[in-house]
Amino acid sequence: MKLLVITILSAVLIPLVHFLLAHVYKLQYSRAIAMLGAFAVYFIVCLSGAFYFGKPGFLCYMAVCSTAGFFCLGYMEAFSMICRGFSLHIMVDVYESKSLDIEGIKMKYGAGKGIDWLFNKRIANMRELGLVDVGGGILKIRPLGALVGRAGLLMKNGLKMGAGG
Amino acid sequence: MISPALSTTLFSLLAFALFFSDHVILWRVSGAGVKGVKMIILLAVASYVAVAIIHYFLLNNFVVEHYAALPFFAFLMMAYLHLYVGVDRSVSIRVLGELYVAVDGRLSLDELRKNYSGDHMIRHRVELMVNEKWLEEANGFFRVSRKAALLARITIALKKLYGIDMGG
Repeated sequence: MKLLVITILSAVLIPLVHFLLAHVYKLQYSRAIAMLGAFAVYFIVCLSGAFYFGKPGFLCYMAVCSTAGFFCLGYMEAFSMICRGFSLHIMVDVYESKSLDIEGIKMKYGAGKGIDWLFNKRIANMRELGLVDVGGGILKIRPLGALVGRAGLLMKNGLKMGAGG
Repeated sequence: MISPALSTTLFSLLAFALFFSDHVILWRVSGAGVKGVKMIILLAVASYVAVAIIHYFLLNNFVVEHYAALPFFAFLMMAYLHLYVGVDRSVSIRVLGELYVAVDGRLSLDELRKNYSGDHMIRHRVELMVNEKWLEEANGFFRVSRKAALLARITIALKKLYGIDMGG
């Protein structure tokens, strides 16, 4: 139990180390790398705690690693929302403008860049990841993209989630 | 007699399996109003408790260490939530789905925008946020609720702190 409390309290290291790596060590070109570095530091601290204070054994390491993994995934999701969260950005735009209608939200999206900018940015990202080819105003899905697209559709159809997006 | 390590791991996996089967059944038979992250969390808690009750009354000769079983189950749930929210909300996965079902896996940008327009993207999100009381609507105009204002302020502060541009 003491070990779990240490693991939970040590989770504060994730944002601290992430911030330090991203700013002090100028890893701003890739915040994702800085985040992975923060996760590595957190895991090292947790496993060291398990080694020194915990009952050695599979269950002890399972508890620590699962708790640490839980916080890492939670932080990743929260940070991803801050960077790319569509709904969160709409909320920020409406907050900054006090009041907006649908057309206003579309134009104001992403600090005034507009919804088309978002669409083009996502397509550019998919191209960089090798999921699609883009040329002459045509998008062509690549094998990896087809795999991801198919898996997404399987889950949406299986759970009757609707079109999503 | 199986080891506590194995029985604890199996306990978490069984709780996750129960959650997943209930989730699939509920999602397939119910309407859009029921489906959401809150319901997933509720199902997860109910599944863990149900398996704990079954274990207590029927299988108590197997040792389960909840200090390890609960974090492992929580980790599995967090990973699943990542997947679920990603598939449900991701613009990129929606675009890949549209391309996957298109003839030869290709679409022009105009065709893609016809199938999945910016207008739809915005309206879908705004509708969800109004339902969840993050936004309030009056005469076609939207304002943030008190809790959304707090979240927006935190987001702006964090973006400045991490040096993230204000795009999305």
